[in-house]
Amino acid sequence: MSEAPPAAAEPLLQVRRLKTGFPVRGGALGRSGAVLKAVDGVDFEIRRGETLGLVGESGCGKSTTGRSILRLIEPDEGEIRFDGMDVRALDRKELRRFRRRAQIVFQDPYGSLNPRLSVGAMLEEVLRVHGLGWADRRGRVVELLERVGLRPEHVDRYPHEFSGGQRQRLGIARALSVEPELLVLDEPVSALDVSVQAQVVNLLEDLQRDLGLTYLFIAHDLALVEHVSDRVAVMYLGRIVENAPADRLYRDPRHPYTRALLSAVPRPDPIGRAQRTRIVLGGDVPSPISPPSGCPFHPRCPHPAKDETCSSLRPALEEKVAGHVAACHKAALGPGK
Amino acid sequence: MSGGETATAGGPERPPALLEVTGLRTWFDTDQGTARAVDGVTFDVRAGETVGIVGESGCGKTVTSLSVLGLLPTPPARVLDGSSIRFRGEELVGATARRLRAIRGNEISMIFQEPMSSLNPVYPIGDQIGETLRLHRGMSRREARTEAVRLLDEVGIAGAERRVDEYPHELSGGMRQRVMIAMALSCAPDLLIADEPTTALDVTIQAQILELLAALRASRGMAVLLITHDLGVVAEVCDRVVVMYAGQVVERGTVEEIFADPRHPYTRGLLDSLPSVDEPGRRLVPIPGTVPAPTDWPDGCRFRARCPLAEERCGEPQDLVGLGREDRAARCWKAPAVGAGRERP
Amino acid sequence: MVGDPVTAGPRRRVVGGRGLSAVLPGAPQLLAGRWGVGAAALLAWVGFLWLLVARWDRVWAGAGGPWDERLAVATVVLGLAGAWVWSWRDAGQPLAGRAVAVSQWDLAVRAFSRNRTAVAGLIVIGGLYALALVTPLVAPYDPLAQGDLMTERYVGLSAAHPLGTDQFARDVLSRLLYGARISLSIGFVAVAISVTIGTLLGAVAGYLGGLADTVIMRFVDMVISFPRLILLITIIALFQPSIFLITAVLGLTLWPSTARIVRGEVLSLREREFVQAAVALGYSKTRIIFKHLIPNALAPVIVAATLGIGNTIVLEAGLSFLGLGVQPPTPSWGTMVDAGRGVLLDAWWLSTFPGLAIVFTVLSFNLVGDGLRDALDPRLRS
Repeated sequence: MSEAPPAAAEPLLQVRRLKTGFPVRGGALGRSGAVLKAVDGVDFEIRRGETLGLVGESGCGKSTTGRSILRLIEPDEGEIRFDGMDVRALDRKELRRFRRRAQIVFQDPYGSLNPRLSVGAMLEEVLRVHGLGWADRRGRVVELLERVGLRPEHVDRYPHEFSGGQRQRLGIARALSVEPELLVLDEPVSALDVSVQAQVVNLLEDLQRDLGLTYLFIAHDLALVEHVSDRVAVMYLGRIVENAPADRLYRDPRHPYTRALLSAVPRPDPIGRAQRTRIVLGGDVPSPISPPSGCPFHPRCPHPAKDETCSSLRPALEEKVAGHVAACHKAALGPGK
Repeated sequence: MSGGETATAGGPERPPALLEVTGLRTWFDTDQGTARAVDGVTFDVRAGETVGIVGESGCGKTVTSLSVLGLLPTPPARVLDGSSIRFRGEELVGATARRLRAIRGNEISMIFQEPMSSLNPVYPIGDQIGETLRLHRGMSRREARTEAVRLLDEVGIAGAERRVDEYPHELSGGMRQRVMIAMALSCAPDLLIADEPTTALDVTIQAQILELLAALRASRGMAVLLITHDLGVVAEVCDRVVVMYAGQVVERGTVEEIFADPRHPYTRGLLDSLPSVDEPGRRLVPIPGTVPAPTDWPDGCRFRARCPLAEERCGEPQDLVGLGREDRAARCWKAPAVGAGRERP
Repeated sequence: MVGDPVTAGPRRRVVGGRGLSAVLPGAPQLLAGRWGVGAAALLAWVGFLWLLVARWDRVWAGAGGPWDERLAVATVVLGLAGAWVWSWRDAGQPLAGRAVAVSQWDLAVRAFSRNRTAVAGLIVIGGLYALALVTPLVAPYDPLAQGDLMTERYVGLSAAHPLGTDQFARDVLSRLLYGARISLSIGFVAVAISVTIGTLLGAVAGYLGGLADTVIMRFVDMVISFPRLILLITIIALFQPSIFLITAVLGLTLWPSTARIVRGEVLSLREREFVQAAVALGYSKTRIIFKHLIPNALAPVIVAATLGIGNTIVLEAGLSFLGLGVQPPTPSWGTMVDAGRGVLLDAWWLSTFPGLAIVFTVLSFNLVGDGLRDALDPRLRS
């Protein structure tokens, strides 16, 4: 992304060649020696105040990427730079400080809150652990609740007394309590009903505008990702296959996987459905334990020019148009139609 | 007393309904009180068509589909007097357990959201398909196996001859859903009830399954009742749509009518809260608040508290108001007056 | 439940509840249909009051006597005060339509109190422990004092000895009451030891994983694979059997099952997102284990512990019966059953009453345990 507009600020987060694997349990006695390469060489960066959408199907490694950045899962290789600081080199004390600056919101509104703690206890604990707001902790908790659209009297309630959307607001309040700069949003609305989804999405947009937050928005819903993101990166089998400004990616996708993904999204437009051509991919996503050689997408790729190169040589992310990279041997260079 | 129907289903020019659900009420007795999960639902499905029931969680769409097959445990569930479910004219409410078993899996089949828990992990998939065939169609073991292979082939499983001996855990999610569909097809049902069949699947696999359902419907002339929360899926595959909210049908119509000219504020709200690939950057318009609890439906219009158009008159019980064409109706007194066409920014 | 105020269940309020509670604590609750708490309060009030009046002289003397008598007096006084104050405050609370926050524990209490047999079991257990505490005040005789060996041996049920006497002319009722103290405290303390050790080790093994997990769980396997009875017999044969030794041995051999339960729970909790969130918020491992994991892993432990107390009482009785447990002349239910073994046909009351005591106690613990299992099971609630 050498052609990034020069006026833009330094990126807040830079990720280079990130790799995270899990040992695979197999055989009768534990480890089989095989490694599941959940994240297999991921590069991207996010500028301050922007939203990068990370999309892909289940098992593509998008969630592991998000957690590796925060070192909730220790990455194996690669470089993570947050505001110039090398995240992988942080010691315990520095890591704790880093975690005040980068937070995460989870998918599951039922599993992400401790069922034994009331809302007030949960938020006060965060503040106490980090020595924040000691003068008026209750006041700060109420402020946080109001910030995410909940009411002060909710402070004494327990998680099970809230609806899914409200729980997700609580998860956001908890993440905001340490006043972070970066939020990793790991499928923050996919467990919610559509009407509630929109409430939470609007809340996230408002928070970003008011607090200047930077988002890594992980989701599988392409329409949603396009809606919230400035840039979108598409992952397949642990790798980023395409990364472009959101409008460009949706208007002019270069990677055959992105094209298939976009055409597979069901659209609420019954009148246009007869005219639309849908690319239906055959087969399933291969196992990340033994990914295909060369381009990981080649066994399912519908590209007419697919050849030997695709099955033998792994394509690198290559700039096809200014600011628009794709990892495909066959994707055309230069501006599209 | 809010389940009254003014729009009668089934005009003279329409083909006879395959499934006719009229005034269905399925209530649950719980510790918190009586949950009126399904509270006066009327719709029909005609031969060969795909009808979608769409709504958010807790709206009663799944309970409706389970009631049709008599699959709900009683107690706590009870289907109230006055409910009617007719399949080819035969009343299923109050039918004997024996009769329901004969219909289930034979004339009406069902597939579920979670294909892993719907398959028995200890038997090969061929045996599970074969069991239905032997039970309902009296086939021998050998015939059943041949038929199972043919069915797996029909639902697009490559190498069916080999796959027939595999166990559920050896298959991917999309494959399992195909196996479930093969099982559902085994008795050549006239109606397939699909409860969120693609919700657990990735978008590319979802596209495969939807394609398969459409192809099967074309080749077999089978009617499909699709239960889903996903408006996109509804728009892709359905002919007619039933929108449910808080245990009631709030709007009915053809898929074009529902999406291009929604008359109930809830339907409009759902459409407006959806991010669209075709209109990025539009600020989403959420529906404020949350769905009330089924033990505690409000009087009058149940959507009133969340409705941008609510007025005093909405406190009265609302009936479905017919909107011209035979089956078109919305449960809102303002529906006839609401202008045609949805404003798109 | 969609975030609107959760209101307290429909409780009927009794007119003049407060006045009634001043005279007869528990009665207004009983009249309002809350029979569990009502009966408990009423029984406590009436029982302790009777004790205070009927045994006034012993209460008076006990207040300055040895520590167990002082404890008994304190129990009476606190029990009376507790029953009265609780009932008074409860009867005066505004009940209808009160918006309250309901924790998971509150929900469990509600579910538990709907289970009549379990509540009955809990009242029996509560009564037994209360009785064990006030034994010095109610026991008619000294449990060790021998009567006239010529005339008072093997006396059947009579006014002087409601449950008869044994071969040394000691009063069976008094021995039964003192035996309850031994049996109940051994059960309680042994389980408390095992739950503490088991919970800590299980949580540490489950959360830290790796080497800590391997070491702890192999140790668990070792302790489990050792036949407990043989271990007990060996230890008791090597050392002089005492109540402390028996309690310690039981406690130190019972913890592995708790450790396994807790480890299993923690392994699944560890993957839950609220624990991940705690890590992301920079919480220390100690805080995560004690504040976020253990409270959520506790439900099955509580069930196992309740059932465990019952089992331990049986185990102790068995050991004492074999002569390996509590040593004569100290009364325990096991030794008392053993003592009556030879004269079962002639003096049936010797073994029968301690035997019945064991059966009822263990039954109560099992009823409560089953009730807790249902009440704490989150799958039964939405």
